[in-house]
Amino acid sequence: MPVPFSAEQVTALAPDTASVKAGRGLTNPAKWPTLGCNNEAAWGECQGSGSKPYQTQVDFTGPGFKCSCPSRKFPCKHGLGLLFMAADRPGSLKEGEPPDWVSAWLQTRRDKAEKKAAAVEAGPKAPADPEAAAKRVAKRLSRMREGGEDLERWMADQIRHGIATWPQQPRTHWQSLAARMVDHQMPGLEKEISLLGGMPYLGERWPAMALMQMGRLHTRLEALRRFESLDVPLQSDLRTVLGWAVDKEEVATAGERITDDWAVLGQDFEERERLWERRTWLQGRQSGRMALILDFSHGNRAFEIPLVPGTVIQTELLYYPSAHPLRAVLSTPPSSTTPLDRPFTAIPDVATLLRDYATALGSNPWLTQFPAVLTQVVPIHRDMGADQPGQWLLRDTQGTLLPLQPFTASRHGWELLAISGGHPLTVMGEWSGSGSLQLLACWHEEEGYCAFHETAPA
Amino acid sequence: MSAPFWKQLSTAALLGTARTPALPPLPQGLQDLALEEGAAPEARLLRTAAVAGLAQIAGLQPASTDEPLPEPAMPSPPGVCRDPQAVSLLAQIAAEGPEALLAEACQLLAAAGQSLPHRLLPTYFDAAYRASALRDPVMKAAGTRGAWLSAKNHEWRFAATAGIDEIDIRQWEEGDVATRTRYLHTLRQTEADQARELLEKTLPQESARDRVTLLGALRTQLGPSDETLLQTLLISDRSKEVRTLAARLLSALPQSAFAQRMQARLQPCITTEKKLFRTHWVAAPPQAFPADAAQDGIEEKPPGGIRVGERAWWLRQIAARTPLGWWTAHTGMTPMELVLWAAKTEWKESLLQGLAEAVTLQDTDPAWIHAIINAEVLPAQEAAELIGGLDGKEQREAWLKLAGSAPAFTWWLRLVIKAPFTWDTAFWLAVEKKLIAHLHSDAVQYDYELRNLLPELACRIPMAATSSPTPWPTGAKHWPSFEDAAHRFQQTLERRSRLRQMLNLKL
Repeated sequence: MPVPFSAEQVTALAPDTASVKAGRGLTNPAKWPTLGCNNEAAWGECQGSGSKPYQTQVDFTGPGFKCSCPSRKFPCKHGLGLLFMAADRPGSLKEGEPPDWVSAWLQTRRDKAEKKAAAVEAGPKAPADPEAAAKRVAKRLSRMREGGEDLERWMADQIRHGIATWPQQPRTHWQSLAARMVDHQMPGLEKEISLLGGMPYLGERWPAMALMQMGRLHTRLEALRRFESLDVPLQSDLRTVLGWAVDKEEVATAGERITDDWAVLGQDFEERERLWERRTWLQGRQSGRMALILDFSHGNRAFEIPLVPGTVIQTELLYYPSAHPLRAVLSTPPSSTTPLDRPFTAIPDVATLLRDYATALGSNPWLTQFPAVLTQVVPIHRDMGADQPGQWLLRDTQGTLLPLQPFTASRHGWELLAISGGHPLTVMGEWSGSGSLQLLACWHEEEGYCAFHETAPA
Repeated sequence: MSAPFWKQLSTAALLGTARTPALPPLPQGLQDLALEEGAAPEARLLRTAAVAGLAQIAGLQPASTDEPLPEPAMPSPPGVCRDPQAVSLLAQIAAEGPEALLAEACQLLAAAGQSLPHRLLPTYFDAAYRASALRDPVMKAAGTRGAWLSAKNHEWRFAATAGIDEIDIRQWEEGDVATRTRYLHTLRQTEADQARELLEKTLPQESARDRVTLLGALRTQLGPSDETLLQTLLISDRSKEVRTLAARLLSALPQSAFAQRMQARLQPCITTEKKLFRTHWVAAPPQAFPADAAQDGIEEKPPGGIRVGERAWWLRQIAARTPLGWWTAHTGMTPMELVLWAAKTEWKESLLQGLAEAVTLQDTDPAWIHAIINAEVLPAQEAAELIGGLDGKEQREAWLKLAGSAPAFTWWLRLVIKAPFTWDTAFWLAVEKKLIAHLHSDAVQYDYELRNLLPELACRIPMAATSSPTPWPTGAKHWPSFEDAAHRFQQTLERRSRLRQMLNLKL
């Protein structure tokens, strides 16, 4: 029976380490009065503390989970346990026809997907009242421009009188300004201004860092002033960095649609004030296009659509309008999920990566995260002495060195080195404007695909 | 963008454009993007920073090298474990332990002629870095890739010398007293004289407590050349603890003058007596406190805590400091006969206590240990320390015997789990029986240690005994709070058997 997931990938789906452990604890077939599977799904009944056993089912496509237990975690331990068993001891699941409760659920899933696909096919609904919408946009723009003038005045004032006293300033120096940007409906600027306040004011480099950061704010304000004259895609990019969300309707109207087999290349999680952000990078088989799926989850790491690194999903993506489109959403749930053998395409050297990134910046000057699939690179570890963290680099065939982002490399650099054995391999990562590559996954001729991820603590 | 450019721009920003309106020019090709001369100087500065910042990110010049690449490992070494289910199991074991299971997994891999999957090497190395007991097994399963990898991480340097504790004079010169003692123990194994000389040099500068700790290192490879130092300490050290330890160490050297003096003191106390037609051995303590005995660390008055007569106290101390070899040579009895005899004498307490002390102190043959444990004179803790000197079958018996006198079941279980001897099915069944009885008791309610010990216990059970499931007391009062631990126990057992299945081993 082909289960498209390895145990390791199942681990990556878990919302936290406690769920992994609990799921593992359920991999004893004795705990499951019934267990079964076919090519599409696995199901089972698991004896819980109640009198009725929980009905657990996993649709391999996606994957999708459903369980009758009351847990608020998603996927719950029963779903994980079932999938762990399917991956690690396929013999324990009896192949056969699904019982009614499973086939009914699978049917609803398929119906929903079809309905959604049909809705997408039919095209978006026309906006209710174009005039009112235009009015709303004009109102928001003028509100934002007021805030923009405020920020501009503040920066000019600082530069006129000199920023030498910044290292001594309390955080409040930036906080109230940042808060005003939220009032003016530009939460994206609040983040950027907070970065100024949180900078390390040490050594000789801080003034240049502060100036670059103010420069970034300057370009946003300049673009905001000329908003109406910008092309629609670039308007959309500006809206993204200002924090003016482009809503789904607009994406559906203006976005580009591509149906393809999408390789889930790598995934990265970030938490900010209990809000989890998941960034998943996809690569299309025929289109060769890259895509970023951005998801948010409040409280814990439970995301609505599980996306598993190391799989290929067949689906249609809907790209957000952008001068260099990367961000996308799944317009329909995946219609199939299969294991990924190897990345579809890769770039041969660091110079190509940097050139591609520069070209992308030429279209969208605010692009900070850029996908990289580099082939023929050798991981290098430089020992910096007993008490210093070592330095991690990738070296391409030209001898060009690319630094790896230190935090992730300190965790996964050794695995990468162990897999490569000092020989070239393919590395997937996220290149950032700050000049380092965040390690996401690698691919090796013999070892296959390998994602680097961490499960969140409970 | 060059460093001088940013320096100049930073200076302008630090001082403020009100004072220095001069700006560095943007490079050719970017100048169109600058604001015109007439614009406000602060706006011009911000624009310059914005353009230069973006240009810097877009035009990043990465470093490059023409150094030769570091020597790579063998590209695809044979024998690497690649079965996905086995790899997954090895990853779970590394993540969840217990430590003994990691060791077992490595041993089984090695026995099957396989080595750890490359990706898992760092995890297993890190575990071995934290727990030195794992170093040998991990290195045996690390394969050529592991040997190559470990040389690149200084925390994994143990790999190069797996099995030998790394020894570095800095541990002696800079370490705390525990580190220094460890260093001495290690050095004693190969360079006993050198270690003693280091010790001799440092002793005058140490506190009494540290002197006792450090002196303990002489137990390793104790030999005749240590006598002079010990004799000096016995006579002249200011601390009583040090003098007592020196005396005990001297008694373990049968040829030393000290041991000879002790034998001479004991000789008149153990004599024969004719009763009817048979010769009996009899014991009697000295009539008076022996001359010079105080110099050899023998105390005239018993300490406050011990309720014993003075003469009995002298006998006990002399017995404790006399080489055990003397007893068998002098009386012609075996250790077991001697212990049984002592138990029947009038001076039973003194003799047995003295002999037991002598056994704990001197590296002796298993016959003595067996006899002493059998006599049940030692506190459980000390008896447990002695058991390791017995051979397999006797150890198992001794452990089961000790369970009766142990302060607590879990205390005993922990020691049994850690003790390096092989369990047979009968032994496990005996342990299981005690475990179940304990789980029925009330004492188990707050026994948190037992919950953690269960997975470790699962690693000690002989595979042949794992086919019959443990009859857990599921109806016992405190059972619900043990369900999780019992589950981990079961999981560990199951992982052990799955490892064997996957590797086709019948161990």
